[in-house]
Amino acid sequence: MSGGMLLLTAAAVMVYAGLLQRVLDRMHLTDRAALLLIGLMLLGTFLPDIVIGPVAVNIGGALIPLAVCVWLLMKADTALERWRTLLGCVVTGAAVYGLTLLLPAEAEALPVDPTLLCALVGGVVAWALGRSRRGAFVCGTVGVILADTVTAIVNWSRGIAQTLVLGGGGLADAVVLGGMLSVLLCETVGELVERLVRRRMAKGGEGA
Amino acid sequence: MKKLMMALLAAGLILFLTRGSAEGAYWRVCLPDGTHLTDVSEEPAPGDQYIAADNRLYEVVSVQGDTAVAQARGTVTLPAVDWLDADAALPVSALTRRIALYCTHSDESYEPSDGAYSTDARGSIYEVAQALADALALRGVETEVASTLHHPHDAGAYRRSRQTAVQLLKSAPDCLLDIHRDGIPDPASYAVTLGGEPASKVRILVGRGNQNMAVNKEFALLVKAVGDRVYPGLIKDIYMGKGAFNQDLLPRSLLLECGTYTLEKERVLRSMDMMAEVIDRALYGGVIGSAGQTVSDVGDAPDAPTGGVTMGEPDAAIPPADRGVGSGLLWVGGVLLVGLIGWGLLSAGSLRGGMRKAGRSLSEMTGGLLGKKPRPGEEHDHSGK
Repeated sequence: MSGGMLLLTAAAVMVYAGLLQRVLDRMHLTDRAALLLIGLMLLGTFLPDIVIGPVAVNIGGALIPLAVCVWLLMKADTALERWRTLLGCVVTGAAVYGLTLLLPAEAEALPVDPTLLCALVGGVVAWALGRSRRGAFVCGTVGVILADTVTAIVNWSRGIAQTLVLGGGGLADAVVLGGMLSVLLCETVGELVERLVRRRMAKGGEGA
Repeated sequence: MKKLMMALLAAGLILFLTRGSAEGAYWRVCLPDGTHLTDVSEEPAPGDQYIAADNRLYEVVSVQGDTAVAQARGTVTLPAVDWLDADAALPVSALTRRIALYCTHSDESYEPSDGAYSTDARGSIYEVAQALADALALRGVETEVASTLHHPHDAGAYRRSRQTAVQLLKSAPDCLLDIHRDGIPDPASYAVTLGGEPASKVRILVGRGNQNMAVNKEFALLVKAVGDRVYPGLIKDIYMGKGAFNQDLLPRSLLLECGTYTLEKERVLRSMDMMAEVIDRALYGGVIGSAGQTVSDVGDAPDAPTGGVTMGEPDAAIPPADRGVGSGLLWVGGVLLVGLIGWGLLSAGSLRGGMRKAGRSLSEMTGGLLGKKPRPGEEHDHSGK
């Protein structure tokens, strides 16, 4: 790869890692812990997948993000929040799976890139269910894994011998992207709604 | 909760009713006066660009039903490939030459040869990818063809093939090729005779929605320039459509439509020898074999690919590799800037407040290297609530 292309790739990776760091440090993590997690995920991307029968799990793309999700669920303030997030995961997984079936197969025909679609769904569902960034991360991450698992089960039931790869794209996988963009979307929608509410309350105060 | 379920159901229903792109579905790309330019199996969108075989550039301005209206935008100047005729050869020992190939749509097959256009098993598109890899290997290029399946052929296929593409990147290839066959029904649009033999054209697809678009476009133009020179008629055209096709993962990633499903597979396989030569010469200047060996040396070998107007002539230099990098960097910087300011505006409600928030975000993203550091008491919330 030429120097210019290395520079372009490095710039894209740095922006991506920067955004991911901004997301992770909202997950009860310090800036340093968030950076460490990204480093571990990057390292895990290049480690061999853990293969269990017809399932391959990438350490950076699935195992570490799932561990973060489990930790977030354990840190949930209430049992209700925990159950709400788990329900959000199922709804996100079903929505992602349903959308991949219903939407046109060709990427050009989609309103957004199919990889980003999972994130949008996760973000919307998590925001609607709990308005929580932590919930959004868990929904976006686990939702993609659930959708991939359902796809594999359907394939296997049709006799297709296809390995279920979870997070095989490592740091660039839809699992990580799903979690990350879900939080950003949740935060953006949350900020927008908060501003609208504040403006309405201010107007109400003036009127009173 | 009820509202959410209703919204999801409504969205699903709308999507189901408006879904398209079944096999055999295709769109006509025409000029405003109705002159037919080409057919595409990918739903066109305004902004898509099309470079025809004669290098005329068109841009899709509207889509009505199954017809896309495109406006002429002049003629594209292909990169100069005079180096194809140069005398000196570059020692190959100075280069590590590696190309990786995969097939996002694992089901794709050729109806006349395979009896079906799609299969639940391994589609014959893998044979095409392997043929291209074998021809590249014959020219001294290390290749890796992913045998991974990505069934079914749905909107999640690119998400699944992304995992394969990332796995392939671990061997640091110079180029990543996603091998497809087209879905337009007219075999004549791809059928061609090259060197007196029935063969197939190859369409190059470049995704517009990623930071590598400019580099990939330059590479596509270079491949077309070499193809037009060495095997005129082999490269059908270049289509730059919406979507990323996982081309964001590596600069110099291309999607190749090798024939269409109504064409005989044998024609397509025949074209892969020629395509290998074109890609090899576009990427590496065509130097093959061990150190110092040139195209002319291998051209005499019994297994060497034949044909091509400049076959047997040694090559001089590697073409410029960094074209499009500047545009890519601007793309990355622009997206970051727009995102930061947009989010800052949204959350702060004013340009000034938005810029301050964007500066703080940039500072946190770069560990305080860029942007404004937060004032005491301005630290953000880590709780994620």
